[in-house]
Amino acid sequence: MEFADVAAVKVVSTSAVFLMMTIVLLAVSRRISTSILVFGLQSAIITAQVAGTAYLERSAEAWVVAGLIFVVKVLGIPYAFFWLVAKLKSRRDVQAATTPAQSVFIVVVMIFVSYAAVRSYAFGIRVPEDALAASVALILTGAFLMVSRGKALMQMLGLLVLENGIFLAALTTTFGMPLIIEMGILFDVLIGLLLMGIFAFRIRDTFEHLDVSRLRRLRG
Amino acid sequence: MTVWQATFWTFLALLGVAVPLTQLGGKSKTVRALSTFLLLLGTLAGLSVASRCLWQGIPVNIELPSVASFPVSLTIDRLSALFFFLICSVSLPVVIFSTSYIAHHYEAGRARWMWALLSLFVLSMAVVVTSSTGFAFLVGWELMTLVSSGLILIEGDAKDRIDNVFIYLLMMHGGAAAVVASFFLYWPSAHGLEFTSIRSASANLSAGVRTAIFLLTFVGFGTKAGIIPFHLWLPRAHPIAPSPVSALMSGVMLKTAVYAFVRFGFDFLGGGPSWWGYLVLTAGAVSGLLGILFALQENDLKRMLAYSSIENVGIIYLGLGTALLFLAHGSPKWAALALVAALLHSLNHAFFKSLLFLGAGAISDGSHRLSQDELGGLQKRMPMTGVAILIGCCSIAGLPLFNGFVGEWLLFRSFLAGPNLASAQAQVVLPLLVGVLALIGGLSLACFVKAYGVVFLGRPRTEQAENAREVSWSMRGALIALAAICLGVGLFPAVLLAPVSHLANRLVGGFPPTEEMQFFAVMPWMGAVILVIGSLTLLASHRKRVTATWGCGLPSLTSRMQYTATTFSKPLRMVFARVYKADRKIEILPEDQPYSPESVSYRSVRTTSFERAFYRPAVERVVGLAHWLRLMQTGNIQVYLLYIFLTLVALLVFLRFQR
Repeated sequence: MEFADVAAVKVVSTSAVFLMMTIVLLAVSRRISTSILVFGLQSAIITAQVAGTAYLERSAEAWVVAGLIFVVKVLGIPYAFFWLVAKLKSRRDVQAATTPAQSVFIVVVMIFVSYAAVRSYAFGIRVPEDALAASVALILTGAFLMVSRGKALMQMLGLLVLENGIFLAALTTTFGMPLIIEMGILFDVLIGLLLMGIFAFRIRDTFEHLDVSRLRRLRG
Repeated sequence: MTVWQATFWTFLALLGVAVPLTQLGGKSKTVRALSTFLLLLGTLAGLSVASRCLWQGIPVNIELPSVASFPVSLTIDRLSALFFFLICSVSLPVVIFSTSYIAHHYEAGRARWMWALLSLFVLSMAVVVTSSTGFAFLVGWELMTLVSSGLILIEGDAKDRIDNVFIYLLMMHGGAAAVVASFFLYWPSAHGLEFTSIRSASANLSAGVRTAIFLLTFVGFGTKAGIIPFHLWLPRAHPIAPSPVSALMSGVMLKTAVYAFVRFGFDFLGGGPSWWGYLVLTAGAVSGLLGILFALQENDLKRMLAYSSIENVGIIYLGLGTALLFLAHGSPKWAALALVAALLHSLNHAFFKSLLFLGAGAISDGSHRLSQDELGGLQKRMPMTGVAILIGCCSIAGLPLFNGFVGEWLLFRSFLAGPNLASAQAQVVLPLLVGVLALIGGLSLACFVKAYGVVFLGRPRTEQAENAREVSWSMRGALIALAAICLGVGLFPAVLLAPVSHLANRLVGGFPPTEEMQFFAVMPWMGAVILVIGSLTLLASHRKRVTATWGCGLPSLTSRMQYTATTFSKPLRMVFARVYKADRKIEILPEDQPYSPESVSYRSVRTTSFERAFYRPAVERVVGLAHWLRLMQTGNIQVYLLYIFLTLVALLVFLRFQR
């Protein structure tokens, strides 16, 4: 077996563990910039997994997807986030509603829940259980971030983590969606980021802060 | 296509398409007059089909294109024919009455809507009673509610009117939900919901499902029929509708609920355990008694008539309950008698109640007043209307020779047959109900003596009553036609008894005892004897003495010295004080001179109301629950996300433990 083959198999089989680590890192990170970095790292791991799959399956389409993800999620989105943070000049902490310890605890529970949820399902089809559990854990963590972080930017980041989870689930269960759909989803994410950026500016301009929990006065 | 199918099509096409289109589209007066003529023509066509099906018992069936997977067809079997006959025979005088009533009361724009909706209203009721598939029935049922609320709103959209219509619609929706549920309980065993397949499926249902269907129809149709405690909408919606519409709503629309209840209870389910009978009997007795007691203390003519509708629906339900009870104890002969009583009373109530509502319309047309205390002395000013209403009052009070008597008499006879049954309970309960029905009859006599006496006799109480004038010929014609029907049915009930007995035979499998039916042969003779004695008395006492009435020494009599409507019912209100729980208020102005007041006003308000005791607390509880649920709505975006998040986690956990 060639070195490249071994590397690809290893990448595909161990990426789940690394993804779980990024989840815990996201839970403890206190600053927006750290979270963005961790997100970039997470996307890079997923890129590696896609690339590994592409190599093993000898699929040209998958290479294109890997390239797209690398460009958009590893480079583009983190760069845009950093730019937004610099432009908005808001405070740098994520305004977590939970302490890091609590966050880690919740995230670990989420990981258990994901394993429990996919266990019976993973037996039925020929899917690596770890990867599927990691994808569900990513979805749950993304949602958790959106719930527990006060900054509007973190809501967007949570949504992106959630999207990473969905992408990973698709990748592990069906070995990737058709290229055109992947591109569509990436485009969606970009538009989402754009809209969120615009809203972040508007919110700051109107209310002089970026704390969504203070939007409650808007309710009818 | 046979002639009769074609006639039925004519009815549907004229009322459903031609009349609304010509009314709403037609610009000239001629076109609209033609449209009214078409409405009459259509009703006549319907009447002829209904009469033929009722008396000859040959069904007429027409198929319509099905909607999605729901077949739609209309069939006039004997039960449908009876109610279709009722609808058409009441609509005909109502339309004649309306020709001048609508012209007097509404300007052209509203009049057109009124006519169009009136036509659709009659059509929707006809669809309800003739449909032979569940889908057609439900469409007709909903249409009936919607069109009638449209008709109520024609007179304006003031706040209280909107509120009342809202309550009407709300309760009708609740009732319709129960009706839909009862149909869909049949769905597993009778796909397509054709009545034929529902009928054959009914036999194979489990006891629990049968009970569920019965209770749902009891509530659903009971809401439409206005039995207590589902009557809340009735005294609100009927009085505010235009008089011809009230006549149709009270006389006819309530009967569609009776029809549907008979269709389900007898035709589909074929009776059930005896507690069904007791349930319906209780509802009937309570509605009958409370209905007439509430009617007695109402001084507004139309509200009084609305409450009296509740009473009459109560009497009909007493008949249906008795029939169910006899059927449960395996005595189809007597069940048939009770059923004939209920069905005949439905028909008779339609005649005299629409007569009285139209009469109220005529009174308000002639005098612009509807409160009994503002009227008086109308007999001299509106003689023909007065006589017609007198006949209506006699009928509704159940006096012999008038049609109200027929149904109530048969009901009495079937109560008295109670001791024939094997069950000791029924042997005691049924004869006791004779007392209840007698009390209802006595109270309704008092109620309508009061109404007629205060409105038509004595002296006019207001200037408007003083200047009242007889109404137009078309109104008088309609009233007289209905009065003639009341009298005719009272004198020759056999005409209707024969087909209705056949109908009862088909529903419960037995003819009512013939000796009970033959009793009515005595009616024409009794009428003749009374006529002879009456005319002899008139001839004998031809001497007239004209003199002033003694006024207790006062210089002259004024209209203020007469018994008022409130005074008249006072003794009964004292007897039934427990029922009314009256709240009395005496106001003397100015307050510092109690012995030489400028004005004294007395008011007594009934405080028993189901709204206060039953509906208000329920509504408050719902609102309280809503307030509590409002805590969920924090307005914080993260809390909403948390809800989604928790749901997601819960679903995942559920997925884990599901297998």
